Amino acid sequence: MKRILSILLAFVFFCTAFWAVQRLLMPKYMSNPFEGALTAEYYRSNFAHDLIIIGSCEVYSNISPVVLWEEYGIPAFIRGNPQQLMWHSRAMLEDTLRHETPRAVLLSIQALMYPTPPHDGEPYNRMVFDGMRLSLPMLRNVRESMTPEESMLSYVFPLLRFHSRWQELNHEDLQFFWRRDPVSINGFVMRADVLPSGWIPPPAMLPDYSFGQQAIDALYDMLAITQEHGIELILFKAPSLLPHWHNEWDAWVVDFAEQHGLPYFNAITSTDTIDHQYHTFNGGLNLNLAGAERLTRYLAPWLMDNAPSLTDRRGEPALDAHWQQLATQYRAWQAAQEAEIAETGRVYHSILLRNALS
Amino acid sequence: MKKITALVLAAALLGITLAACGDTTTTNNDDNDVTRTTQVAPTPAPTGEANHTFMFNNVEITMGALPDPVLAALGPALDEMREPNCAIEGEDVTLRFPGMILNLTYPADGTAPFIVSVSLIDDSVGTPEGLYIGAPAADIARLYGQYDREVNGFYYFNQGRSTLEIAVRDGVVVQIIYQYLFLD
Repeated sequence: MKRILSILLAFVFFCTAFWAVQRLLMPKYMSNPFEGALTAEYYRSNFAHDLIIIGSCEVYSNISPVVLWEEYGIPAFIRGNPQQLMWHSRAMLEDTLRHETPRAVLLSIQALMYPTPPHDGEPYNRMVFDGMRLSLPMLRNVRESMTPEESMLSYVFPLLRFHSRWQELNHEDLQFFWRRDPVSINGFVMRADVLPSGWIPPPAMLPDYSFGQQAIDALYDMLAITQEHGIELILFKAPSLLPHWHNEWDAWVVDFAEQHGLPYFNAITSTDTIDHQYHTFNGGLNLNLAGAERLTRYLAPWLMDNAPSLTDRRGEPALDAHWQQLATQYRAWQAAQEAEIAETGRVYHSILLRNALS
Repeated sequence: MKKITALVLAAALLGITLAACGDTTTTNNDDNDVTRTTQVAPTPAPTGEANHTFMFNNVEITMGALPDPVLAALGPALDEMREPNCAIEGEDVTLRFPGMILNLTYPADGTAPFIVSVSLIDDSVGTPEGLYIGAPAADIARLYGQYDREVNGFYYFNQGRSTLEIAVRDGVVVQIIYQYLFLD
């Protein structure tokens, strides 16, 4: 009996130690690149979103959930990550459906231009999946996203990839051992500063404008999943100047949307709304806060016209209270960034929400 | 005593598990640097490899080469655009000179920057062999011989770890791009 107890105790000790070491060595994503914390942030939300917005920085910098709520009554969450490819977006959708069924999904289609996992894609894969709860769909999506040098096992046991992290542990690894601070407001990453667009190189002609099959397959999967769950799927292209969005690509998306009866909002044509001299923080790649709020006010009425399931939910006490809290944080973040801009001209310290709220 | 032995054995097993990870990557002092976990960087061409070279104002611009000596010889560009990587270190830089655009990349993993491509944008400059934007398509075969690959009117001539892409529309050369093939 004593022997069994000893073995059991040793097993428990080993598992606990393994878990603790893994948790200690796992990147916390609480400073750059803080975007790696976005995936996990969703699990702290109230899972009561009528609209889930899925994509890369083309959505998480460009659409303001607080404006969507305050002015249109649409409770929304952005599930975005840097360089989020189509198969990453499918992972986000499948993961979302494990927790809630939104009425509509707004999907950024910009990533259709990337045919396969890029050779240097591992850091982005990690940012998408490090914070995602383990599930079979998650593992299937990991398999499709991995570069040849990656191993599936390292996604199940991240400890296996942290060779030299021992030497670099610092106070942040201890500070955020048990908790994480928020880095976004419902997936929205704020940048209030301005870096106007300058010269943009002319786009090169391509020998072939076909999208890659892996990206197309992921889009079809998302179409099937949303149809199966009775979710309205809406396609979206942000008004980015770069990477260049070719007309041939857009024509394919327009055809796809028409074939399947999907609304498609291409914000590139919203030139009377977005001015890349004022509404961008990085030269036209992404919108700043002013641009995001303008685009949201341009997008939201169109959404309500084209996605009938989206209705004004303001006046529901639980939602009102929840969004009031988020709006307060949003204004505090904005104020901190505007104060820093007044002092330095740019946003550095207050990029991190926790710095703005402290 | 047995309990202690069991705990020691468990700790040793954990140690072995961790040691098995090895220590093969370079270190970096940045906090939470996810790029450290991947060393899957493009391999810059070794010096002397016979990649395509474009000549501009007597400056040799070899695909895959280090940018700094070339930039010093070229002098200031007319225009510049910097496109930082999303969320992680590294950026792509595009520079416009009269008649051509030069692309450079500064990899996220800290490996050496390199010249990615040169695009000819008007007929004020030509290739060392004499091809220029607006030249008749027949000049391609005369100047370069047999192509390695053709896709929808785009002709590719490979050399080392680089390619010369020449696009033809309506019998006329409309695009000339030298590219470093940094992917295996």
